[in-house]
Amino acid sequence: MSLRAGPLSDDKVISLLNGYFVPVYAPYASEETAGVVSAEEESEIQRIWRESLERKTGYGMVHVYLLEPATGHPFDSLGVVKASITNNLLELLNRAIERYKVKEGKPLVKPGRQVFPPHVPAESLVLHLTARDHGYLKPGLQEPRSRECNVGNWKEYASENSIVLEKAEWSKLTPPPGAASWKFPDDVASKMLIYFYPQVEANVVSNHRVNEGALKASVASTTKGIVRVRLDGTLTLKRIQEPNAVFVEAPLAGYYDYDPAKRRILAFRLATENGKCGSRSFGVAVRSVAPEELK
Amino acid sequence: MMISLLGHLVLLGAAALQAPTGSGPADDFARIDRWVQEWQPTETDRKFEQIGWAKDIPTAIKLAKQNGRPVFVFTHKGQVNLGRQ
Repeated sequence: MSLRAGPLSDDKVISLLNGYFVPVYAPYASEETAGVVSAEEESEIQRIWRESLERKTGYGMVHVYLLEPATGHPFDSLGVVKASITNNLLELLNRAIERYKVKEGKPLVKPGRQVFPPHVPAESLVLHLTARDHGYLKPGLQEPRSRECNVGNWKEYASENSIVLEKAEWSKLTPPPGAASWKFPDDVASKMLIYFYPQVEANVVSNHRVNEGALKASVASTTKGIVRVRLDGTLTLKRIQEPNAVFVEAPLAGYYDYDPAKRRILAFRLATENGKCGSRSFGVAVRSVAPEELK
Repeated sequence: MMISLLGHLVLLGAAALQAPTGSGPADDFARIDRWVQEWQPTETDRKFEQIGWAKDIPTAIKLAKQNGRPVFVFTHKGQVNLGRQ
């Protein structure tokens, strides 16, 4: 079991981290996290790695480190394989509490959603995406695992993404006057559809390329002035390193409600129930997020 | 060619499952709503968010000095908060 799905979801571990420590997760700079890790954060990660080697307190790139309260220097650590066993992590934490005689207190940072960006431009439409692996396409049949869709232990919990459509982007979704159907803008579709894949190992999302015309829009109904727009389509996702190979295929279905008077999208939904990635099946659901959920 | 054809047949089959024959638009929208609702992250998926995570290491070290607590740092590849690499 992974560190997140195992010890970091265990009540005793959560209680110790909140009551006695200052917890922080720190993705290191890699192709997968381009644009996510600041230079200052990467510099701190490199310092912790370097000092752990010098102090012989244990080192690894995917690793748990404990830093001294007064100095921020590492004093103990555990590799991810050992740390993913709850009792091992509890032992590490209790040893540190005893060493520094830490008194229990409240969490120093209020727990909260970790998926949404801390700041969103005004008048943006924020979408939340959940992706779930459904397993092999042929249940019960032992197929060789596709290299292109190796889910590893990431499948132990749902993958999530937040997608922020700024006003200039969601305004493109305004139904054209008098039209019964039209092509959904490719650039807006791409912002969502690049995330239509299951939980996988070693994947660089900036390499994803969405097929043109993946989504079509049509007026389904108009009720009390609100236009319901139906979305249908088929996704063919490729990656730039393998331009001729299909990474993901997925039928798409969704809708959004548009208020022409207020020029607002009131609700947005898009999903695939039966996406195909290598030999695996997956589902994705996208929904619009209410402003209060972002607080 | 045969594999490609089979792939398209699988997709067509999947599309058929998404929109059962005879279902109306209201049924389609209800089905989409149901998928969206059922696939939201569960309480178990979100246990990780019960931890009060500092936003970065410098912030964590600052809080540690102010409060006399050790810092717990998990360095990793990908984005553990999203479940994505």
